[in-house]
Amino acid sequence: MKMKTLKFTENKTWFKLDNAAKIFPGQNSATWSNMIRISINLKEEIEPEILKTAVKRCLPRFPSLDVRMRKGFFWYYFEKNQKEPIVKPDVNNPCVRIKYSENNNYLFRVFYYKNRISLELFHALTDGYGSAVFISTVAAEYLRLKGHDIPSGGMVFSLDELPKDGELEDAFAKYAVSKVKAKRPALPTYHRTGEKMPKHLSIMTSGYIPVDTLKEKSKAHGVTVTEYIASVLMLVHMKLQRDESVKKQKEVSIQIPVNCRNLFPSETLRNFSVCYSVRLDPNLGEYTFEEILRQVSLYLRYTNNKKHLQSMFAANLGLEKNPVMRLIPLFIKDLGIGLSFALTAEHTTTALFTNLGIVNLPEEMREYVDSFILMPSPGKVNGGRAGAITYGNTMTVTFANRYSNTDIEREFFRFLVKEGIPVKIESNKDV
Amino acid sequence: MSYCVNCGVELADAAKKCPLCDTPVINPNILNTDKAEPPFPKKIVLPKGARTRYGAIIASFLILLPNFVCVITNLLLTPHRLWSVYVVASSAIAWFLFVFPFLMKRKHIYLILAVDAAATVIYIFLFYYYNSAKTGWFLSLAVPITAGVFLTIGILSAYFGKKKNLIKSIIAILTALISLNIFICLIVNIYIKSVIVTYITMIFAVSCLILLIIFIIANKNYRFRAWLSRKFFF
Repeated sequence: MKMKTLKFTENKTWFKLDNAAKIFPGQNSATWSNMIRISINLKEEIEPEILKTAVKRCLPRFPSLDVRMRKGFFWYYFEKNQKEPIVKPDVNNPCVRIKYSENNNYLFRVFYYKNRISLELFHALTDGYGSAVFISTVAAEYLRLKGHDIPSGGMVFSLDELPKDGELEDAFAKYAVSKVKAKRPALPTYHRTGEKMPKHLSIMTSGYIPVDTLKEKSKAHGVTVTEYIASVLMLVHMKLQRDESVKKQKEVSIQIPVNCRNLFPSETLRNFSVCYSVRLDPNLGEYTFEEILRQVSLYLRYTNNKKHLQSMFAANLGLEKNPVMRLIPLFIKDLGIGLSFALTAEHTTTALFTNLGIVNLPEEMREYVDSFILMPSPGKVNGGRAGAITYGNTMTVTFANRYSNTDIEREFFRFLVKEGIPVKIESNKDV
Repeated sequence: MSYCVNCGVELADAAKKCPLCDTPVINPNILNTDKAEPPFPKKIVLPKGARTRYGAIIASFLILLPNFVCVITNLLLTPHRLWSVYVVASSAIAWFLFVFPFLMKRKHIYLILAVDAAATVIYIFLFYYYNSAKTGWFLSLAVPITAGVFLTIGILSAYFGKKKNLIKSIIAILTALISLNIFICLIVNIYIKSVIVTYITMIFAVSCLILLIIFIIANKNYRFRAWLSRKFFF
């Protein structure tokens, strides 16, 4: 099958949103922003003017980010943005919803604070991998402009190269060849709620964890780091629900996005990740940590394969390709997406844990970079939404919490400390 | 470098208390934490408000346009019959009810209700004035009923501003409905003695009252609530 790929650099001035991105504009609201925040801590203070030049020089290499959102009659589409990107001082309230008309029409924000560069991207543009590549390339270019000699390699893309067609493809459409469509779980699950923060505010808590100790621990249990952290999150929610002493307990479900580039040979810089949900029913009895670890790791290993992923792509693409759906005007689609999101989506998951994995930077750049931080957007009903990213020997696990009570984070990090894993905490709370 | 005595986690140098458990940080070696840089700035930037006011202004102009055409046509073609008054009045009431609240920068619910009540009374008055001015139902029926309806909405919104308990909300709505119903019945009966209206009112009020009593008992009595959930689970 011949793929229709985007020749943005040649004569096309617009392109379609990828399959996963199509739902994000419909969900965009004050309480559900769908913004990914990724930060890089350098070892020197950031100079905003140089950072702005670096972003401007990087954008032509990333045509899928150098765009503005436009409304068609049936679908949204991206159009090349003709304006200049904006670099702003960082704020206390991360991942605020994006308005398509603000920020010179860019769908990402670039912040600086002390020695940290932060990037907040609307999920319709790309996923965690794409944002990590972009921020690494920007940081490398920034360091180059500061007079350091940084080559390209790993997640730092060369600015001398032209963008490749493969980087702009809708990989979901390419690999959705399965005839079977995966079913989505729709059962309501447990949510740790509390007193909500005012609109547009959330608590961001980052824990810096030494990877070698964490790996050692997870290896001792015979699981991967992702499985280990997801299990801790599951255990914490199980315990919190038990402490609430409700008669009928609800299932606890941890959503784990997986980067499909690991299984499919795609080099796309747009969205290419889907979510698995690991579910456990506390009504079956009290699970020990060992049992949870076993359930989580077995489930992920059993389901995370190409065929299953393809059936998930097929299910998502089926909706998009449905002729009736295609002919519904955009504003009705938006209403429908908003409604279905309000009724299902977050209600079927308890927490989220996304592990971006290891950031691979060129050797020459490593001495200037301290750490990375990844934060998912705060949930509408879920308090525990965590993102992890590893650089060098530091893994940063960051929680985005809509509520003013931080008991999920507290229980989570206390558990790690009890297991003998040292944690350093940073937060935007009470600064 | 400090650690939380409760959680055992290392804290940022600038932390005055643990972000996880709010335990204050007292490190005799680092007495002045003010000098350390906090990991985040204090500044909070909120997104600009939704552009509902622009939408409201555009909607106002859109409403104005057909009205203008109607008035001109009316004055040119049939100057002896002012039928365009109905069109203008209907548009005006629609504007006050559905567009005016969005034009306000800060939404004052009681001001909106007062304006809506006044607009409704004027709207009814126009119909009364052009059709049945001599019957006198405007002052004895329309004004008190409109006032009663809007007053009930006002009291209910004041109540819902504070409490959100489902059973209590249902009790509040039922009480409001019964009171409003009896009030309307009284007003109608003063104007025109009607047995049918009294019967309808009684049927409605009694049904609401039974429900009200059930909900009040359910609210007060845990065992009754448990019995209800046992008998009516689905």
